[in-house]
Amino acid sequence: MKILATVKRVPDPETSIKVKPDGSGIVADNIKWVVNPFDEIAVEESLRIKEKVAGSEVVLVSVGAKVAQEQLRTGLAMGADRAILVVAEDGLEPLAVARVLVKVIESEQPDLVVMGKQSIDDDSNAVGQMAAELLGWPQATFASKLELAGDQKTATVTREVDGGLETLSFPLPGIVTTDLRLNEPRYASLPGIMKARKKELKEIEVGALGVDVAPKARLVKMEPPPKRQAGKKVASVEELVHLLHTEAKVI
Amino acid sequence: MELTDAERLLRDTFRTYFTREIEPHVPAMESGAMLPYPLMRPMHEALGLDALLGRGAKPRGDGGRDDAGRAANTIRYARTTFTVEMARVSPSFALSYGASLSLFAGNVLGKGTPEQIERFARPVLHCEKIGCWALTEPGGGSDALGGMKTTARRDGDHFVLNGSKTFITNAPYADVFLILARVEGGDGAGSIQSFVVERGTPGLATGPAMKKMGMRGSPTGEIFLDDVRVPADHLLGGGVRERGHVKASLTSERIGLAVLSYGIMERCYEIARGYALRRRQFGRAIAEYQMIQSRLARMYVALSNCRRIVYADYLAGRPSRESVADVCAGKLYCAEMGTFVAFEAIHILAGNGYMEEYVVERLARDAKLLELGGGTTEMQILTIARELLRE
Ligand SMILES: Cc1cc2nc3c(=O)[nH]c(=O)nc-3n(C[C@H](O)[C@H](O)[C@H](O)COP(=O)(O)OP(=O)(O)OC[C@H]3O[C@@H](n4cnc5c(N)ncnc54)[C@H](O)[C@@H]3O)c2cc1C
Repeated sequence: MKILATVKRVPDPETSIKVKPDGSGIVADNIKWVVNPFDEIAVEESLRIKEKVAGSEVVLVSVGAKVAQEQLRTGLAMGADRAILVVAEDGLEPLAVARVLVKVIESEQPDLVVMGKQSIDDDSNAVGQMAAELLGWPQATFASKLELAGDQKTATVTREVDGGLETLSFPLPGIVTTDLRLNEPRYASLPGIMKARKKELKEIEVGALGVDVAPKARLVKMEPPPKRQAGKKVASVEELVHLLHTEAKVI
Repeated sequence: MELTDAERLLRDTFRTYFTREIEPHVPAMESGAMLPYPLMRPMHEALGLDALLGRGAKPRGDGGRDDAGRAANTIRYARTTFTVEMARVSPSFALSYGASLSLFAGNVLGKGTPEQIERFARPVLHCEKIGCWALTEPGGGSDALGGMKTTARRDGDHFVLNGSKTFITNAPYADVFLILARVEGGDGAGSIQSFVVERGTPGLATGPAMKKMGMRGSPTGEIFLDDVRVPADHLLGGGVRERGHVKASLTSERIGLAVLSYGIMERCYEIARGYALRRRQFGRAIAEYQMIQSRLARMYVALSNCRRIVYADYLAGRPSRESVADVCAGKLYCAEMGTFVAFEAIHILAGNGYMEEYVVERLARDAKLLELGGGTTEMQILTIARELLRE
């Protein structure tokens, strides 16, 4: 079975992000970059399938600046077999990324594509859905459980929806996007890191794919969230209720 | 230091692992409510560390520019950085781990027979069993070799051990003990030899974990040997070894301890620097005051010098084969600077530095041990002077 997993380079969720004074973006120096946590889950899930289904191959793909090599190497160190980096400027819109992925998917012809449900930088939550639509493939988003039939021709996905669980079954090939509870990703191991140095990492220029990646929207401004105001201490429950009513106006 | 992508990934992976998987347990380990040992096997599995250890795992080659040379150097980096990252989070975890894997298993690996390596070293290298290394006695610390009272008497195909040991890392919980004892009578009389003793052997007893200033997450204790009979094949190396073999293990212990000091220093420096940039007094960040800058700069001088000491092999791209005097010099300097930097960090954080929450007070208490264990500062100086003046 061939599984394609996506990997995006994003700022470490633990680092504090500063917005540029002119509001044109974030200050990119001196921040640590990691694999998008939902993509890490996608890589982990792909590796678990590979471990179960003999002869499987896990291929990683990233769309972005050349430095995203680092994140692809991390995925290779976790155990993926090879990686493809489509070199493009950072910050492509979801539809552009979906179009690029479709090209890669068409040439790789995987049986299953596993993607993060969203990247934690832009939080668009759109690429998986768009790629499935462009390909005319079935999709299951927000997966909290993924099972393959014995013949690997169908997938069954459990999704966490408001107030319960939903189970979907669909024929492969298809696209699954991962939710937080799908698995706990492994650490890259020392032997894995040593082996990853030699695994294939192919670069493709986005221009060579012949897809329209021009932006449709313009970034107007970024603003940091407002600073938290100091709290207030109240003397009694009565005062609290009173203030919630008159000041906060929530009850 | 200019790291390769693989080296950066190694460091980041180790750091993430220790921060997520070990640091949350530090308060419980420090209070004694939890032992460090159950965390060790899962750590080996998650990070694939079995491959880093064992016979032949030491990188060879002179670090040419070819791929094998670079890979060997990355492994050198990994070995040091793994310990640095462990010490940044918990020096006492690192101490217990090092006593088990380096002092016990490393000695068996280096000097044991193939059977001893397979039977005693391997399970400890894989963290399935915990080992300890017992040299120090109540009457013999700095003069442990000269003043050793623990004896081993040959009795047919057995040795009978008698005596006691103290301040032994891991002793309260160890599964296997490497006991140093003076041979009485017969072959090798008067020489000091190492014996592997398994817990459960009649006559072997251990005391409870002692209460101490620092390294509280690392159980330290006494060992009592009362007519402990061990088969002759438990004598390390199978036969009586030449004098001087104990000194060689002391040298390798010293290198490991310097790395712990460096890890402590690195964390304390970073905490102090970050704090100085954020903490404001008299309307400015305290980092703007020259007196604070001077302290930070001096901390950095120590850090920078110690980095070159503990990463010497990596930076050279080959084993640096330092002289005994240089190893002692490195251990002495890193240990003193570890304590210095940790106490400077407390000073920069002032009231907060004195509080548990800010970590540096724990690291400072831990740092002091490294000026004592593996030979006190005075013992390093004695050795250095002896080497210097040898004609
Ligand atoms: C937490 C901890 C863990 C340890 N783990 C182990 C372990 O796993 N295995 C093990 O075998 N040991 C272990 N030790 C023991 C440690 O190695 C000894 O404490 C150390 O060697 C010093 O011995 P001592 O405490 O008996 O001090 P002493 O030798 O009594 O020294 C007291 C003071 O006198 C000084 N001094 C002694 N002789 C001279 C001299 N000739 N000239 C000048 N000054 C001198 C010393 O430097 C020191 O300042 C551990 C100790 C601690 C605290």
